[in-house]
Amino acid sequence: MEDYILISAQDFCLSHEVRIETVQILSDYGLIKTVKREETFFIPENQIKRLEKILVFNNELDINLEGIETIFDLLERIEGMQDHILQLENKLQRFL
Amino acid sequence: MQFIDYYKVLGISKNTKEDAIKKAYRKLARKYHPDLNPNDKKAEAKFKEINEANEVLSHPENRKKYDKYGENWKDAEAYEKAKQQRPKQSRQNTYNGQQGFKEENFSDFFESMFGGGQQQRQRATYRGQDFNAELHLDLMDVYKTHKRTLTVNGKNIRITIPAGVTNGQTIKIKNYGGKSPANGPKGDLYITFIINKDTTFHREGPHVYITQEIPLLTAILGGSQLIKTINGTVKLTVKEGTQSGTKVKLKGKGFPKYKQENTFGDLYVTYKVVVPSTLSRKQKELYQELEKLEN
Repeated sequence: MEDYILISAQDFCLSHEVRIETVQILSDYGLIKTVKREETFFIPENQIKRLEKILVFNNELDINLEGIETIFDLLERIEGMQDHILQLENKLQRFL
Repeated sequence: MQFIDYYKVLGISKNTKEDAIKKAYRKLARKYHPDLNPNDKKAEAKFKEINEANEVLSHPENRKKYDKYGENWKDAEAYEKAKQQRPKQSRQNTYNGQQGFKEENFSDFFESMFGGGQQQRQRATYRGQDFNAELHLDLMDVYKTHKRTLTVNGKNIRITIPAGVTNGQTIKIKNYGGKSPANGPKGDLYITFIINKDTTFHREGPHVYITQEIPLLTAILGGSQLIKTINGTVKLTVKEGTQSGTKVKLKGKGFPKYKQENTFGDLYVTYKVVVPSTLSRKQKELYQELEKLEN
């Protein structure tokens, strides 16, 4: 089983200079998963990368939450297609 | 060293106001940001260029210098002056996404003009930087699971290479990336396997394909043929009247299936009938006899 590490949302917010409410909004919106234990708010480690991306999209590229949701959906599709292209390229190598 | 026209990079004119520069930058950043263009080296390079242009043009002081020295940046006096005016700042990587940027990615011009290092506002990150590495292997290297020691960023890492990995496949090694600047988790190490194509075996997933030449008479009369497989030589019976292009499947003689212990793909042999290019007098006579019989 993979380690399940929780990061304190407060620590994360302090380091990124974002308000804890922002993370809560993103969680409520369904863009990230968070965990609440004994009134303390945590972010699973595997969500940090995604959360950092969201903050870049929102703060630096001025993309709203709807846009970010669409981007993640499209990125997933791009990654799927890139995998498929790679498989096809490997198949094609047989004939080159 | 190359001179880069930052105005051109951002698609703006020399008298563009600061807010319009920001707008132009954001528009292009949205188009070329590496997080939005996964595995796109061209977009990544373009984004670096845009970032660099923005760093210079969005800071009035930098912009003034750039406007003043422009293409004459090679001038030693100006270079020294610029260097003195701008002491070296701490060298930090700016973008900390999956494909972290290194300072050498910035143009020589930028470095010579402003004394090296990046003047960019450092983005707060929690996770450590992810590292990407390529590992070139021969086909036979991935036939069996084995361990290998790699040196990534000066550190030796011993990894297990599972049998059956495919060309272009990437594996993630957790916590082997950069350290977090804020006591957060370490980044990850991504290793992409590049499998050299230097054997007669062609691999497609767990299946292996080879073309085997067989003599004309073996194809006509039938017989046996030795065939080299990945793990040894096997003797195959060639049926009488075998045509060129005939395919034979050797079950389980292919490549190991990725992460499926003791499960193998198949080996597909395509026969290529070789017609002799030179004949002895006797052979020619016999073929002529055959021809008469045919008629």
